[in-house]
Amino acid sequence: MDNILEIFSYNRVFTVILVLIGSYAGIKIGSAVLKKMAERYSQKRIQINGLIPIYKLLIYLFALFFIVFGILEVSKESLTALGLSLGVALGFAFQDILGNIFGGFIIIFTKPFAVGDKIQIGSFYGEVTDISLRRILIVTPDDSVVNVPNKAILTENISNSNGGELNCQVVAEIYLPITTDLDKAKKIGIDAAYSSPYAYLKKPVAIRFKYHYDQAPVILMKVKAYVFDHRYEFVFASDIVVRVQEKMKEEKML
Amino acid sequence: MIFLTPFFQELEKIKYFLARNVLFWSSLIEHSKNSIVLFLAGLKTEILLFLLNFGKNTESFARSLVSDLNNVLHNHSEWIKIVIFTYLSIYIVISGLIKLKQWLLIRKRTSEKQLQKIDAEIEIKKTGWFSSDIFLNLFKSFKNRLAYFSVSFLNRINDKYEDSLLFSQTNQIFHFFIPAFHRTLKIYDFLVRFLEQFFISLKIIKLRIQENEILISRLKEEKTKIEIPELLLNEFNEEGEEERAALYAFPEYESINEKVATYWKNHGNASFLIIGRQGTGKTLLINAMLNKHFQSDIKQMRIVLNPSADKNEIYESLLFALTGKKTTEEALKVLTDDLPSSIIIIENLHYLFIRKDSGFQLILSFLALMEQVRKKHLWIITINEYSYRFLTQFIELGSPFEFQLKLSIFKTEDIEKLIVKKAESRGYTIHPNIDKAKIDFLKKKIKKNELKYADIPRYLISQFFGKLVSECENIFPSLYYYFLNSIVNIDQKRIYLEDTQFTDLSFLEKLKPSYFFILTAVLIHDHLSIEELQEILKMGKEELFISLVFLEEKNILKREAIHQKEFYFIDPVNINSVSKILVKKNFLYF
Repeated sequence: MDNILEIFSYNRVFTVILVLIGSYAGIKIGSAVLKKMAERYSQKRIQINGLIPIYKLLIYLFALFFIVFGILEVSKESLTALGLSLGVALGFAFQDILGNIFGGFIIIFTKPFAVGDKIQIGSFYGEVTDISLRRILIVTPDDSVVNVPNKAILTENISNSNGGELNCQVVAEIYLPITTDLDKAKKIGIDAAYSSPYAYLKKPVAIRFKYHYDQAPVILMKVKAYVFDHRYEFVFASDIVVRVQEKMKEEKML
Repeated sequence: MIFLTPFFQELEKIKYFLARNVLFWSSLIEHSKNSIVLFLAGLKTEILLFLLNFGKNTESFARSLVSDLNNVLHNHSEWIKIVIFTYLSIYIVISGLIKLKQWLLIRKRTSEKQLQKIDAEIEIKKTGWFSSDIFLNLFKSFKNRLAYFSVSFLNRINDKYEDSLLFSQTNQIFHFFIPAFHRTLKIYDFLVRFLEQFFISLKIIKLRIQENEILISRLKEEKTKIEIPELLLNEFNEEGEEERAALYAFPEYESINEKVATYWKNHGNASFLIIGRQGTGKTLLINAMLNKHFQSDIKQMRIVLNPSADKNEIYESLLFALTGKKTTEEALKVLTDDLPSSIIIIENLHYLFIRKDSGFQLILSFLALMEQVRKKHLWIITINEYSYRFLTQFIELGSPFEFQLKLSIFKTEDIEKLIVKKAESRGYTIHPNIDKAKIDFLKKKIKKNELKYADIPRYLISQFFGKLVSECENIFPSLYYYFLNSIVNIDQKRIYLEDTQFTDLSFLEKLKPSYFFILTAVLIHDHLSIEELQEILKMGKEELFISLVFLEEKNILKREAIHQKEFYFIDPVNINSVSKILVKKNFLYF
């Protein structure tokens, strides 16, 4: 009891609070600076954003070690004893939190995705806006912010649309009457992708047709093209659909 | 001999130092397997030594900080009052809580031991930050804790590597690192202070700029401009022999022109594509080439394409000018059978396409036509560099051409020669305007023996042109514009130049993406009407109009009427800066 009183004196508790506040402020300021830099130098956006979780981890680790060994001065023996006695109890109580923290470490070190990437995790799809030791923040196409716990990466399938690059593939789907002249439709689809201001034309444009039955038989045309910045992914898909439809109406194909 | 004693003493020290080093390194090689251990142990020792001094240094630093804080107290008394009030509130609440706890325990007739614990708690409180000299204690406490943390960390390393064989030797060698370590810390400290001051200054400057923005813009407008003689203005508004000479001075240009001419002589056909940005001298290069290599009786046809809202009209007029026919089939027949072997020059091929549905068909048709008859004529075709870069992503634009030339950036010396020659042709000489700030800067350079008095004008002029070329590259209108804008005085045919004030386009970076889409579209097409932009970007006309007016007001876009239709294009003066921003923003990725 004496030891615990000594460890948690007002002086130390106040110091710990100060260190925590300092670390929090350091994380917020550093992350904000990095984010601003990423926006300014859009070409390197993904790479700069990727530094944010590493920076956060370093600050967290420094704060943790400084608090435990520098301020609270917990001895090796105490730590072992505390670890043994509380380990089992807390392990069960905080298994979710610990799972998230380990998930966070896996994300930082194996980099299955980074801040700025477009990912599908479970049933959620969107842009990763933040990675912390506890959770991933995803902004979905309808602008909802989804808080995905880090441990989900251990259990869910993840797909990364852009793999660290700014451009990513977009598939625009257009349903056409079964009598459509497919050669003509293909030309229109390719032309629509080339014309769109959002297109990334260093990568190829591909067209795929598929027979589809939904109350009546139709042809599903898939225009696969790349967008120069995945932020315009959905605008690009819509733009292709609009352009194809306009041209087909002009050609009296619809 | 007495006067030599210090010298011998120094010599002894050096000998001793060398001997120690030799000893150390020899043992290091001998025990190379322990080198990592050695390094860690040595590092630890020196850091421990440093930490002993660290306490003293940080204490003096803390004291200086306290005096700084006293100054802050005067300047920010209200904030300080709030802090003190908060601190006192916490103090009173905690003291009250402890007293309450004590009182409750007494009431419960607790044991003496429990009361002692509470007394101990009060003691800790008293020796902690809740004592008289709060700020000093705060820093002392931080310093001690940080130092203790580092020492205990190093002690753990020590415990692990205590039995290291070379422990004593490492102590010696790491003595030499101490000064370097101290110096590094001093530099670090200086940098931190410098950065702090820098950011404060930056903030003040920013605030001042915001406050005086209108005033500054007015002052800029009111700034008396030097009246440049019309003779000189005309010289820089007209492209003449100097530019041609400059273009030919570039060995790459001359070499490819010669290759084209030789190929034409040997094979009776050739096709040559010249790629360059607006204002880089594509037409001049063709003129120079024709003058030098093709002054013969061979029929020459020169067609300059102009922007038009109807691309079919441009294509038909091109065919008509070439063959007198309006359809591709008819034109092909004339070019193959009727037209004798000729030199066909087509300028601005980029006006044949537009980035919309079926907008690439005409340029493809023309390339196909050319491909079929290229073995009969000499084709010299020019295209905008941005259009070329865009189109080559998905069209084999270069395939019908045996020769291609991308107009590159000139050397600073070439541009300097060109401008000096242009000025000299009107009897003017160029001189730097040396103000007080420059004199101070130059004095420093002279002191350091980096510059001689006689070389000052030459040095300043080369600095001026260096900056000019790095900003404007090989865009002649931009080069001339900023050159003329840098003239501060003209006295008896002597032109005085000050440092060029380039247009600040940093505001562009903060604009909405729609502006970048507009600029990219205009850059790719060279000239675009509002209707064409509307079709390309699928934007509302009103929104587009507002954006275009803004960009025009800011001198990013310019407007010109061609055949009673208005077209927007990027001001050649700013084209380089605009393209750099678009690259940075990833809109111009090709």
